[in-house]
This record gives sequence, C-alpha cells and structure tokens, in this order.
Amino acid sequence: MYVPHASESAPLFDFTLVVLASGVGPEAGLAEDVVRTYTQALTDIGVTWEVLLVDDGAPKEFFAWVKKMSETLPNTRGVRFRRQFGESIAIATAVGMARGRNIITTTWYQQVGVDAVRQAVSLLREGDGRGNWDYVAVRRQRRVDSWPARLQSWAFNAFTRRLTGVGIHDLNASFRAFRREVVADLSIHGDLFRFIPVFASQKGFRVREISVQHVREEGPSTFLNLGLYVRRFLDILSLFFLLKFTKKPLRFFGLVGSVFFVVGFGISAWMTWLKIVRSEGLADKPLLVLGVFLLVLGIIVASIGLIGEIIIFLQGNQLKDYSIDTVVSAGRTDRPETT
Amino acid sequence: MPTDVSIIIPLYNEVECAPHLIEELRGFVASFDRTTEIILVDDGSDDGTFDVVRSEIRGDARAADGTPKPPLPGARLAKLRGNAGQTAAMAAGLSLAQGDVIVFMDGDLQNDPRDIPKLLEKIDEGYHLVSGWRRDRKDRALTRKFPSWAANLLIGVFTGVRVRDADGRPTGWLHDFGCTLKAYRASELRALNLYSDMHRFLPALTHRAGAKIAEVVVNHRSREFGRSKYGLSRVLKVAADLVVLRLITEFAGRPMHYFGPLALTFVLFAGFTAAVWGWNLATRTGDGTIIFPAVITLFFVSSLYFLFLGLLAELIQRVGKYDPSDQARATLETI
Repeated sequence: MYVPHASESAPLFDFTLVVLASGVGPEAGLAEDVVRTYTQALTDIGVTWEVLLVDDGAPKEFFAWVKKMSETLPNTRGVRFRRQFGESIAIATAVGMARGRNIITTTWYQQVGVDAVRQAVSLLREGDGRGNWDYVAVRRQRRVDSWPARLQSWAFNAFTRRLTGVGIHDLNASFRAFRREVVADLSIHGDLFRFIPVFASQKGFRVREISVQHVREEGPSTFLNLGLYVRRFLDILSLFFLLKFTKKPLRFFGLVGSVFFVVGFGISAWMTWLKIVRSEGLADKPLLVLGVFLLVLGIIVASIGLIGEIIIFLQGNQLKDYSIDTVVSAGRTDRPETT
Repeated sequence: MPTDVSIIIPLYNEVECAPHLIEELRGFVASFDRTTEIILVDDGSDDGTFDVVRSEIRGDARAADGTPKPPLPGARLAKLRGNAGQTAAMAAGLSLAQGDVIVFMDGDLQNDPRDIPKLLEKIDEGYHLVSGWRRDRKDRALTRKFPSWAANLLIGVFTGVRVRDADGRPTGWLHDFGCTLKAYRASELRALNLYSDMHRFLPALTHRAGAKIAEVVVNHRSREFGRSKYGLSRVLKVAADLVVLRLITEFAGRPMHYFGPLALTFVLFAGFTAAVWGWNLATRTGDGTIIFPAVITLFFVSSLYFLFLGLLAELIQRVGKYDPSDQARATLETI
C-alpha cells in the first residue's frame, strides 16, 4: 500500500505525536496514559496536534486498542506493520505520514515526564536566549533503570560523543522532538535511529539537549551481550567514517594506506640494506615478512580508496549533505514560519 | 468490482508452443469473468516467436484449413532487444502491467491457464502470494524431478518460507518454488528488485516482508514441443544464489556487520598465535623460526583488509538508493 508523503502538502497541525510500539511488550493501558498525558499538555500549551500510533509488530490486542483510539480521540490515526521492522523504519514511516509541522516521538509508555513535552514545544516554537532550535534531545535524569544498563548506556554515549564530536548524552531515549524536515531527508534504517541527532547536527540543524525526569523503563534490556557490543562499536565506527569521509574516501584510505606503505617500505629497505650491504641472512628476520605485508596492505587500502572515489564520482550527485535553511529573494523571506 | 489481473508470460524460442498457447488463452479469456490483460514478453527469441505471436494475438493468423483465427483480446506483446533471462523478462512484463494482481505463467504449455481462477480465489481470501504446486510432475525423474525436489528442499530449509492458513498460522513448507505459475498482489512485487535469477526467490523475499503465502495444486503437462532450457546444473546455481540472497537481505543495509566480525575474528587469530609464540619463546621450545611472526602478520593484515572493505561497503550503501522502508511501506495497514 502506498502511503503518500505528507510533505507534499502544507502542514495541518503544529505537532504530530508519534507513539512507537515495538515487539511483544506494548500494553494498551500504559499507551493510553502517555497519549492522554502528552496530548493534554499540548492542548494546555495551546498548539494543534494529531496523534500517530505506530504498531511495529505489537500483539493483536494492541492494534485493537489503536483502532479504538482512532475512533475516540480526535485527529488520531494508526498504522501497523505486518511484522516488526524496527524503530528506524517506524520513525521514517511516521515522519512520511505526519501532517504536523513538528514531530514528537515517544515509546508506548511514559519514558520521561510530561515536562519534556512543554520544554520541547517551547524550544521548537519560540527558542530560547540562544536562538531557534530544530531538534530537541532529552537526557534522562535520576534514571530508574538498573546500574548495568546505565553503565553500558554511558559507555556507548561517551564513545559516540568522542568519535563524532556531537555532544549528546542520551542517544537511547525514545523521546525526541524535531521539525519535520530534520528527518524527512534522512535515510535511516537498522540501528541508525539512535544517531538521528548526530545526522541532524551534521546537516547544520541546531540540536539542543534538555534534562528531563526519567519516569519509566519497559521492554527487555540485555547485558554483557558481546555480539551487541561489537555491532554497536562497528556502527559508531562506520558513522565516524561516513560523517567525515563520505565525499572524500581517498583522503581516509589514502592516508591510512600511505602510512602502511611508508612503514612497509622503510622496513623492506632496511632489510635490503642488511642483505646487500651487510651481507646478512634474512631467514631469521621476522621483520621482513611484516615489511612485505605492510607494503602490500598499503597499496590495497589506497586502491580501496580509489574505488570509493570512483563510486562517489559516478553516484555521489544523489547525496545531499546540506539542508537549505532560508532562501531570501528580493522582497520576501521563504523560510516557513515556525508555528 | 472484479480485480484487474495482469497475466505475464515470458517466451523464449517457443515458436512451436506459441499458437497452442494463444489458443488456450483465447479459451481462457472467453470464460474468465474479470478484466484481464495478458502481457507476452518475447525474451529475444531467434526462432521467429515474435512474428508468430504477433500475428496470433492480432488475428492475422490462419488455421490449418485456412480460416482466420480470432485475435486475443487484452493481449500485449513486448520484445526485448536481447535474451535477458527469465527473471528480467518477468521484470519487463511487470513494468508494463497495470493489474492489482499479477500472475506469472510459463509459455511452454506446461502450466494450464485454467488454474488461474483457483489462484485468484486465494488472493481474494487475503493471501499476498499464491504459489502453484506441480504435485504430479510430468517430467523425467532423474534430470528434472530430482534436481527440482532438491532445489525446493534447499530453498525451503534455508529461507524458512511457510504456507499459512487464513489466520496466519504456518501449516507446512512451500513445495514448489520453481513453478512459474504464481499469483502476487502487485504491491508486493513492486517493492522488490527483480534481477539475476531472483524469480525463484520471490516467495522468500515476500516472506521476509511478512507476506501470507498459500499454495494451490496445479495441473502440469509434459512438454510436447520445443525443449527445456534447464538442466541438472541448476541445483548448484540455486545453492550459490541462496547464499547471495541470505547475505544480501541480511547485510545490504549494514555491510559493516558482516565485515566487522570477520576483521575481529582475524585479530583474535593473530592474538592467539602471538600468545602461542610467546609461550614457545618463554619455554624455549621453538624459537628461531619466522613462521609465527609471518602467520601473525598475515592474520593481522587480513583483519585490517576486511575492516577497510567494510568501510568501502558502508560507503556504497550510503550512496545507493537502498531503502528498506520501501518494503515496510508495502506492508502497511493504516486506519
């Protein structure tokens, strides 16, 4: 079934509240609580809103509740995947369907206090002393989950901050508030949903972090899952590479390759000197092997960089690593009014 | 209102079968109560299939006794510039099709168009894909039946495709991946990329997208004209394609999750070898050889090699148009 992109038309609401319900966990009771609380807050602030309930492989009873909500609550729609596609796809789909100018995502339970809604709405609409904001990330305070969960989450965030240079402390929180256009252009899939603020920041959107009260944590949490740690590590590594070098792969591969090549060349030259000038035997010199391998590796890595450059040269025109903020033409300003 | 059905038939060097096929289709269309289009795709035949089919569907052909044959209503004939293969011919047909339901069929008379209503009934019941099952195959056992049985078993076990009942509960394996006669909802197919020999894996790909699959026993007739384009070598090709399918569906969106663990494994090998070497040196049982450092270096360099290949793959992934949400979008139910 084709879902039209709402971006093709003007926004109908100030905010779209997206409720993400994944896996076997979601319960109607908690979900109803978060929908009622957050929409009440939006009403109290005085902004218009719609609700989008995303059933990403939740139990059958949950979709029955989604149907019920769409009949009782105003401006409420539901969407259901045939199987669980994960948070990235759920967010991408919701953003595609949303008719609000801004979007708030939340899990199916109240992960953070309702104050997060108030702060986020205010920052997106009016900004603060430091200007307007395009993306509001939350940092859960006084966390209610267990200390091993916090420890691994802390390590993940610290590592990501260090490598990407984007100062977000809580990438795992599901509460996010952002202007629609921040995510509309991103291609997110797999585990990339965690890094939306990093992508946004790289595209030049202004990302702001707020501290909020952590209320509740549901769903399975895994500890000491070595495979998971490896995958997360690799995700961050790829992210680092893609953020810095997508458009200039040869700089990265060329640099690394030439380091290998120079070291390998140096060792090989030394060994040659030993053999020819000093007439020493090389059969007991392990360094010879290292030198030769590094020489070859250097050439291979630089060649990989060349392949990368060719790919970018031929295909890179599809990549858009900018986002136009404002177009000024004589006489008028074309930036959409912010609510 | 009846569903629009597109019947797509790839033809490759079927000059003898074609008149009989069109004759069968005339009979079928006359008795069929839905709006139907028939898309015949001539896959670069060099035996004159195109001319024969063209005159048949236009009503220019004459029977043996000289009476003119009627045209085939709703038929279109596409000619590909070269022989592109069955999957590509099917994709070409799909690009022309306008129906809500797509039915693929062989052009060699082994499939019977009279089975099509049975498939469509199942589609109406809510299935996304209905597969024909040639339970009583009229083929030679050793060269056709056995490879087919082996290929089906292999695909079934490897991809986990199950036939489901109306409530979505699995009831058994899918028996006949290779049978061309299958009906699909068009939206399922349009979310997929059809290339290489992927037509055999369409059930697996739609299954991955969460589709509900049913199976219907269909009539199978032995080949009377022409000759088969398949042989025993098929099982090996299927096995290779299966590995590709698994890797592609699993890692196309996240290649680093494939290359990264490989790199890590080789680092561990290097570390292990280094430990053994160190222990050897410490106990003075086997030093003086450059075997250990050579092996350590080999492992280490391989590890870096995989790591950089992974980064290159990530780059390609980023540049490409791959968007898994297309697939998800095809499966949405909105209220």
